[in-house]
This record gives sequence, structure tokens and C-alpha cells, in this order.
Amino acid sequence: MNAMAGPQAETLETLGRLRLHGPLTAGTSRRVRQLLGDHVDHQARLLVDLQAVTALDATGVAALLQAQRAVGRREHGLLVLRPNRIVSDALKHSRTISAFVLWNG
Amino acid sequence: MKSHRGPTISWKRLVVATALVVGVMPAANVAAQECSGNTITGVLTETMESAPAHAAPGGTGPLAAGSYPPGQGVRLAQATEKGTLGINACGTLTSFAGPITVHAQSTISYTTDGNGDPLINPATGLVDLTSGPINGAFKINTATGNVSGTLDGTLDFKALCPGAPACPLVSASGTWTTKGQNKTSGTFSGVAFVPFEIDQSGNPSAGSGVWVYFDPFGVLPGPRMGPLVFLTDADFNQQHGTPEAKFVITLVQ
Repeated sequence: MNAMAGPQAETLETLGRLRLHGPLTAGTSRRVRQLLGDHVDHQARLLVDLQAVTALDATGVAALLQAQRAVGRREHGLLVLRPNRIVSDALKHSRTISAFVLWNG
Repeated sequence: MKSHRGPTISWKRLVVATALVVGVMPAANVAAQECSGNTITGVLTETMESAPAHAAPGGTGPLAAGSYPPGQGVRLAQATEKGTLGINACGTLTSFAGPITVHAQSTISYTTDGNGDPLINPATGLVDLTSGPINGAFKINTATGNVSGTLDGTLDFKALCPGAPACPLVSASGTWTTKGQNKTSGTFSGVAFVPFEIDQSGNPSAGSGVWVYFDPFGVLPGPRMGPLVFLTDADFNQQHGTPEAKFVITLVQ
């Protein structure tokens, strides 16, 4: 027991949430980059829900990596992906799965 | 058109299969029982509050999120669990009753394919986690003062559902030791309940917004339908809006 210890506190930043639907492919990657960029600009810690993604190609993976790098440059930056099987398989096959923090929920 | 729901295996079938398995596992049963020996049980909630400063590369929780260092075949994660010890308090551990906070980190191995790459579980769409060590520190605010200590053990994402395509339960077991003059030690066992989404038919349905725990032991509070316990507002992280895992732990001396 340490009765002399003072109270401890930490400031908790809010984790922003972004849910993406449909294909993240060459045809949509410009819009996806814009959406991710807008959120990353305003949110150092971001959960990107990809459960409703229907396709993910190299351009979609590149957009996610770009967001990851942008967040990584921020102090205490955090990008968490909530993948579905399509996304998990794409990240695995592109050998980029280790670049992300994944949420199982 | 291809479905975007991902998992196609009936969650009802999984729940039934898992219930049959865990129903015969006495070690996992933490329901109310007669007082015997030195034990105490508590229900803890996994928060993501420790995530900001330590998220990279450790992730945000053994059950919630984690990072996958290249080539190591393991997932690294950190978590904070908060709750209260006091259920089935017996013998010497009655004095441990009170609010408890656990900070823990885990290193969980995952199943790999022939190339050494992570295998994606077809039922969950996630990396197929197996088991690995967990260790950390705990602090209990008891009626007579704070009790601090450490714990070391194993987290197993498969043990409670052998043969099932996916498992919303994670077993934990190991040893604990307190610090200070009256140093004492014992063992612990526990079960973590990982929330998941279902649709009205009881099938997994990511994005449906209907979150449940699978609790065949009957220990979790909340509206229940058979082994399924529906999450209420209190079960979602107030800051992040994410559903939180529950962890029922029993200390034994």
C-alpha cells in the first residue's frame, strides 16, 4: 500500500471512427484517399471500419497505407483497421497486414 | 452479386457447437457455487483507454486489437481491464474484494499457411489466433488498502471451442503474486467474452449493430436469450463507441 502516492491522470484522446462501404479499388481510390485524408487531418487516432468493403485492390491498399503513414507521423497517432475477410485476405496477399493494427471486434 | 457479409457459417451452429463443448468444461464454470477453499471471482471490462501512448507497436488489447510484426508469427497487444472482485469470495481471498485494475500484455501466436503467412479464419475473416503468454500487473482497492501484484499465464483463443470454426471465448490461466510485506501468491483462471454482431436470424452480420456475448455459463449481466447476452449502452466504450470485451477471472489460493 502506498498511501503517499498522489493521484495519477492521463489525457485520453477520442478515437474517431470512419466506416467505408463498397469497393476500395482503382475506380474509387481517389474518393477513398480523400475520405481517409480528411479524417486523418482532423483525427490523430482513427478506427476505420472495413466490414462493409466488397473489394480491395492494390490502389485501395495503397490508400490505407498512405493513411497509416500520415497517422504515424502524428504524436500518439493510431490507425486501427476493422477488416472483413476480403480485406484481411487482400492485406495478407499484398504482404501488408503487418503494417496495420487490426481490431477483432 | 457477391455478398459482402464475409462469414457464411451459421453463428447459431457455432454457438450450439461451442455450448456443447464448454458445457462439459467444469474449470470454466464460474456460476454461483458453495463457498470452499480460498477463491474470489470478478467481472472485468476491457477498456481501450491505455491505447494512445502505447498503441504502436503493441496495439490496444489482447482481445480487441493488436499489431503483427513481420515474420514473427505473433500478435502483440496491450490491454487494461477494470472491474470488481467479490463474487464467490471465500476464505483468505475474501479480503481481496474490491475494484481491480489489470494492465497486461500478450504475445499470441497465429496459424500460418505453407508460406508462413497468417491464415485468415474463414468464419471470422481475421488472422487465426491460437495461444501465447500474457503477463501484467494488477491493483486491487480493498477495504483495508491497496493490494498490488503481478500475473503470468497463458491466453488461449482455441481451448474453449476445439474444432469450432471460430470462438467468441478466450481462456486464461496462470499464477499471481502480490507485492509488499505480506507477499502471497496463487493461481488464476478466467474466460474472456468477445462481443460479436448477429442479425435477426442469429447469423454473424458485421455492421448489423446488434452485439452479443456468448455466455453459456450465465455469469454476465444484461438481457439474455439462451447463451447470448445482448450488449447494452454500458457495454460500449463511452469515448470510442466500440463494444468492450468482458473478462471473468477467478483467483485461487
